[in-house]
Amino acid sequence: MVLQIILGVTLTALFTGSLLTYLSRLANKFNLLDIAHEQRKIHTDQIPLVGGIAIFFAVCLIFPMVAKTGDGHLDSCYYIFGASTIILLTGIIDDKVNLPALAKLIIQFSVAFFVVQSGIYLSMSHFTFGYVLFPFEKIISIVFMVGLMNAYNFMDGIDGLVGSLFFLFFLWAGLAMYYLQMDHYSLLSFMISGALLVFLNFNFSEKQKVFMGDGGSLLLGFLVGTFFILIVGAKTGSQAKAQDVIGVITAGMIMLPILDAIRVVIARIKHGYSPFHPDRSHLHHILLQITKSHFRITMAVFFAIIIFTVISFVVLALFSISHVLTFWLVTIAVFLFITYSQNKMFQMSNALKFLEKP
Amino acid sequence: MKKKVAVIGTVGLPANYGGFETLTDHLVTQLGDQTDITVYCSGRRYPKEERRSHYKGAKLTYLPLKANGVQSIPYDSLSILHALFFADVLLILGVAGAWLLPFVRLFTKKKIIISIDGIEWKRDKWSWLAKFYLFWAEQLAVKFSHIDISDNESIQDYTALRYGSLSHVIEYGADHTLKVPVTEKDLLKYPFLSRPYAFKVCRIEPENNIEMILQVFTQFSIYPLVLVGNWNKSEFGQTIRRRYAVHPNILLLDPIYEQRSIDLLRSNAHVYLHGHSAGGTNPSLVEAMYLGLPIIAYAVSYNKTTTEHRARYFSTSEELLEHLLITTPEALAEIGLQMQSIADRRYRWAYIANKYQHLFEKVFEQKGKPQVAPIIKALQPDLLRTYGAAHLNHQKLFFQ
Repeated sequence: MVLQIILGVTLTALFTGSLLTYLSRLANKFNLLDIAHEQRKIHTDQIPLVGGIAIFFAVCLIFPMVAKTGDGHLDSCYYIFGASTIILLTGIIDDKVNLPALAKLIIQFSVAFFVVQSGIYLSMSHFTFGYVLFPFEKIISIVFMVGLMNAYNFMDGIDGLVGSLFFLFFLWAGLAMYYLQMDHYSLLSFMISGALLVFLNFNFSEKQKVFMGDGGSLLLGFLVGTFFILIVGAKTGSQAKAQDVIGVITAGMIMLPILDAIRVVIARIKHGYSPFHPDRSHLHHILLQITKSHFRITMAVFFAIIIFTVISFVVLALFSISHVLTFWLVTIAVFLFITYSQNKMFQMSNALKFLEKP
Repeated sequence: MKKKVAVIGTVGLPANYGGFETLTDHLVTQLGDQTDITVYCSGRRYPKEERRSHYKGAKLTYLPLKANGVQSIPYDSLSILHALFFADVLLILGVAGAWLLPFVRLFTKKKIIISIDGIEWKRDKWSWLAKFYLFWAEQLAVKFSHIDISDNESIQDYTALRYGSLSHVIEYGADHTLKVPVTEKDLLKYPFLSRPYAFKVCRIEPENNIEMILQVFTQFSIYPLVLVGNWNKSEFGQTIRRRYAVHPNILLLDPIYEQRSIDLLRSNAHVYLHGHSAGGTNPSLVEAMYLGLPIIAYAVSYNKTTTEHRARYFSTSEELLEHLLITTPEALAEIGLQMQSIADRRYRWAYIANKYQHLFEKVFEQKGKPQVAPIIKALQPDLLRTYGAAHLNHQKLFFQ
């Protein structure tokens, strides 16, 4: 199995690299470019939006070559590939022609419905003292998936940010699923993280810069949601503590995008705008007020998440799950306080320009 | 009975350092017989053998902490906690310890007067974390003090805009500076004194527009520039010194801590350049005004309000060069006279100390902080409309 993973990751990485170079050139022809015509865009050139496509194609092509046939999860894997294709296509079309938000949402909900119907949904019976809330579990799972993919899509605004978050998640998911003996999913996760590492190299480079595109961030966000459900729902037999550990770390990793999306959406609704109204209130916009370096912001967020999950793990190991939840509540409060105050400070300092104008 | 006032947030007395310390020194001198003043001093700046229990009638209390940088937070906090045991009024200079104020208000009846200094959180010399803390601490300082003090009308505009409350403006005094006539000995030490020169003294920090001014004097050659500052404290200062010291028209001097020497150089200058862009009223500008120097200042609102819009102002090197070339000696003398008359009227320590004394009394009588919004805002808009007075709801306030 380890050999399989190493082979899969190497092949995917190589293939992603060549695909990215090739597709970047093709993107010019098909006009799949991000052009800085809107005020809120941060870069200034024309950048190919092919990251998601390259990662998806590389994984799709290499996975059947290295995966062992005949195992239980393989069918589900192809379900997921099918759903992914639809999301990616929607994203590509959206990158080209800007679909209305409602149309995108409908497609996203149908895809999530399709996946949930195939048997992947959050089981919540241990929250409800054994009562099965049958339709609610599925509805909540659908909302969770759609919410999460859009949350990751919201995070995609500066070089490397969403890419490194995805990389971290899929690396962890690969390890966790390896431990949980979900071999195919584990392989798939590791392959995606390998592809993302190559993508990040391109994303940060000056000459060959590519972006993930809406398709890419939505697709990978959707996969994060699916894998989250799979990991949290997996049975670890008698190892109850192991299940807690895996659950806490996995949840800790996806918390930031969810929290930031909720913050942004609530603020927009409060000001009377649509939840998808474009503005400059996302986390990366707020961090850009502090430093202009995309690399430093990405690294700060990346290590903040690692530190956060490590502390959660330590708290869980030393105390209990309720202490972890307390720690999370405190962190959320601190996060909200800092983002709110920083934004206020920025606005105030703009409002005070008149004091310094000659 | 004399009121007990604790002065918190300065390095200490006797004053050797910045604006707040000089202010405290003069408060002690002027108000010593009306109030019972205790001043907190940094034990790090005053070694054991230099310490004394009283200075000009004020009691000195030493804390083993630095008064600047991160340590100012525990320094101010400990001072506040200590002062709670005896003082009636806490005069807090700077916002570093303001996180304690909500608790002080909740659990005690002590009166709090706080001077928020300039808009510290906007200054580029602080790191992000420091800015963030200062931004938040200032909010607590204004909301939980009985009286807050701004040192400039533009800072008052800012607190009105941000908090909707009215701040008291108290500037600094300057009458401790003296005009020093040039002697033979001085000429030997500073030969440039025999001819006209432009003068500037400041901390060597980017916010003081040093490069812009030096740039101008590489092109302007009628008289030289003498610039006194702490060049060796930072990388920035050393780089600039290396770049400009070679120029014949520019004289860069190390900091001068002796009052007579600095007054000698200032009071005999042909023109005083003031490049500060941050903070409110700058003590160095006020002092230059008191000496009757013609002033060319950087065009930010703080400098304009300090000089009552009657000096010359520049915002680019071209403008500064133009002022230097065009302004005649007669016009300069006229500006100098105007500056002196403003300083005589506003920037005397007796006058400043009186304003503080007034606040020490007012703080016991005042009920709630004065708001900038007119009382009419409390009425229902419908009611105003009924009586045909809806226009009263749309008044422009002084900061708008």
